[in-house]
Amino acid sequence: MQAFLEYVVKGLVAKPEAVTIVPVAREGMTIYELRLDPADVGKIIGRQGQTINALRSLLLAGSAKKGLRCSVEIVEDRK
Amino acid sequence: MPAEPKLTLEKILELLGFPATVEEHPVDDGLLLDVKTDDSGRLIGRQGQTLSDLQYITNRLLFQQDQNAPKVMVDVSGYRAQAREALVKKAKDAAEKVRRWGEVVELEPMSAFDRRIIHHALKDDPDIETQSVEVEGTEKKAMLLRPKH
Repeated sequence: MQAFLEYVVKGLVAKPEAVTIVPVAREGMTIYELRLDPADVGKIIGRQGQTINALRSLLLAGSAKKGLRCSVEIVEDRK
Repeated sequence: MPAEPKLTLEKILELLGFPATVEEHPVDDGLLLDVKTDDSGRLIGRQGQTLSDLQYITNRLLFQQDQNAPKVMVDVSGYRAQAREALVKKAKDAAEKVRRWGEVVELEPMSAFDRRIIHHALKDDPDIETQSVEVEGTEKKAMLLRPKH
């Protein structure tokens, strides 16, 4: 699932080299913590969250097929 | 770089863990990518939601590859084709009601995509005009069919 997320996110942002994804286990789920260039955050969230929600929906469908659950959260580190 | 619709969708499906074949079909308003996979129910999702999300992400990626890339429609094992037929039938039935009783018929709230199908199904009907109206409490709009004067 991480490879899927990486492929799509890097395909959507202006600075793919700034994308990092860290899987974190939480309450039986895998949450992918996504960090990206601040200027790219809006692109991944999308209008009314449409892009991030579509990503979550596809992650759920793909992981459910393997009997897992996973999702994605954008992490914005404070400087 | 020209957009690569078929390759892009195949890559997404492979990474998501859905082994699939993708066929390209040119349609009136662009390109249809039809997906064949053994787990089509899961890929379609409730009321086609997962399929819509897949189509949305595919189009976002294609737009990023080429800003002039035409929009693609993604279907799984003819699901959209069937849904489209059902919508066209609903539109024709409602138009018949309007013709018979001369009153406005309101359809349930639908997505812009579905309303477009209804609108197209009736655009050459000499007796009927269609209008979309906002519905409180939902993002979707409902279509009104009324007799043309």
